[in-house]
Amino acid sequence: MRLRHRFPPIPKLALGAFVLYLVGSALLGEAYPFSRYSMYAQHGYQDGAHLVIRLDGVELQTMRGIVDIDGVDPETLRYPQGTPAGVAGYPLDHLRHYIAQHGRRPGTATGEAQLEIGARFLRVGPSGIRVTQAFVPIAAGTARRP
Amino acid sequence: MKVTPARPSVARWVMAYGLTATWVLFTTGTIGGTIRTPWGIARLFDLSFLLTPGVWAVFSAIYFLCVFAFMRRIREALVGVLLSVSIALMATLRISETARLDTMPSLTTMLVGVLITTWTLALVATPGSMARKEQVGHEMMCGVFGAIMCLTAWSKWSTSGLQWLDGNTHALWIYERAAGPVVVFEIPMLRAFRMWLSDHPTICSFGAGYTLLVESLGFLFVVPRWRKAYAIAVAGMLIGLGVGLGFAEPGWIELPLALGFSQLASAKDTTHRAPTDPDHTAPSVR
Repeated sequence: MRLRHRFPPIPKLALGAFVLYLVGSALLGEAYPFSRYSMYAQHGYQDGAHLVIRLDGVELQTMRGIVDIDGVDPETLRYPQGTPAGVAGYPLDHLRHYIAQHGRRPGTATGEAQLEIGARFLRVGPSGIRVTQAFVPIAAGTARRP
Repeated sequence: MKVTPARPSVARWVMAYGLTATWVLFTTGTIGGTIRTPWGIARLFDLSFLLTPGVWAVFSAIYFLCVFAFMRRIREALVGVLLSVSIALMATLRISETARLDTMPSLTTMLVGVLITTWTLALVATPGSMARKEQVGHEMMCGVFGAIMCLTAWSKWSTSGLQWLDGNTHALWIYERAAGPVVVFEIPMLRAFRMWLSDHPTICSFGAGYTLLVESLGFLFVVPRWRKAYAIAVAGMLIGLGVGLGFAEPGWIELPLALGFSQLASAKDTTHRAPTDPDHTAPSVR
C-alpha cells in the first residue's frame, strides 16, 4: 500500500499502448507503422565523409542559386566506393533532389561553369578530425552560376 | 441542448501542423521521383501514378480537406482513418522511391503517422461517448510516444552500448554535416558553431549522455504526472540536436509538448463532460 502512495498512478491504457508498440516494433522491425528507431545507433567508427561541390574548381559552401545543372543524373548519384558505412545519406538525398529540381530544361543553353561533385574522406582521432582524401569524384557536369 | 462550437485545442493545432509538415516533406522530397524498389502495398499495386503532379494534386486536396475536418472535429473516426491511410501511403511511396527498405520513411512521417493511427484506432475501437474515446486516444498516444523514445534508447544500448557516448564519433557526425555544402539551416553562425563543436568531443559526450538518458526514460511519458517534465526534457534534447547537428524534424519537439500540456479534445465543448473514469488521469485541456 505504501508503494501505491509513493508512485503516481499509471494509466492502464497508456501502459498497454506502450507495451504493445514496444513489443510490436521489437518483433517486426522496420514495418510501418512499427520501427526500431535505430537511426544514429551505430557508433564507434572513426571514418567519415562529407560531400564536396566545386564550380570551376572553387569549392561551394551552398548550392543556393546554382541552376541549369546538366550531365549529372540524380538517379544514379551515389557516394563513391570506400565511403564509410556510417555516413548520413540525407545530404546526398537533398543534393539529388536539388539537381532534379534545378536540372537544365530542354531548349535552354548549357551552363558555362564546370560542376564537380565528390566526397571528402575524414578520420577522427585523439588529435581531432583530419582529411584522408581531399576529393574523391562522384559526378561531373555543367551548371550556371548564381 | 445548446451546443457551442468546439474550439480546437493546442494539441489539435499541433497535430494539424504535423500532418501538414508530413505532406510538405513528402511533396518536396518524393513527388516527381520514381519508384525504384516497390515496398509494402506497392509490391502488389503499381502506385507510380500517385507520384505524378496531377494525381498528387487531387490526393492533396482530399488530404487537406481531412486536415480541416480533423480541426473542426467533423466525422472524426472516418477522417482519422483517411489520414492514417494517407500517411501509410506516403510512407510506402517514400520507402519505394528511396529504395531504403531497411529503414523508416522519415522521422516526421513515422511520428505523425503512428500517433494519428493510434488516435484513430482508439476512436474506432472504444465504445461509449466521444469524451471517453478521446481520453483513450490521448492515453494511448502518450504510451506509444513513450515506447518510441524507449525504442530509440534500446537500439543505441543494444547496438553500441556505452560506446555511444564517445564524443569523437559525435564530433565527426557534426563535422560531416556542417562541412558539406548541403546542410539543414544554411545559417553561417550555426555552421561556425557546429565546426567549433566538432573540435570539442568532451562537450559532444555530455550531449550524447543527456540524449541517451532522456530516451532511456521514455517510460515516464506513460505517467501523467511526469508528462510535462518529460516533454520539456525531450524538447531540450531535440533543440540541442537541431542546433548542434542540424537534426530538424517537424513535430518532434511540438508533439510531445502538445501531448504533455494539452489534449486533442477541444478546448471548449459544452456537448459532453470529461468521464469520471478512475483511469482518467490526464492533465486538463488547454
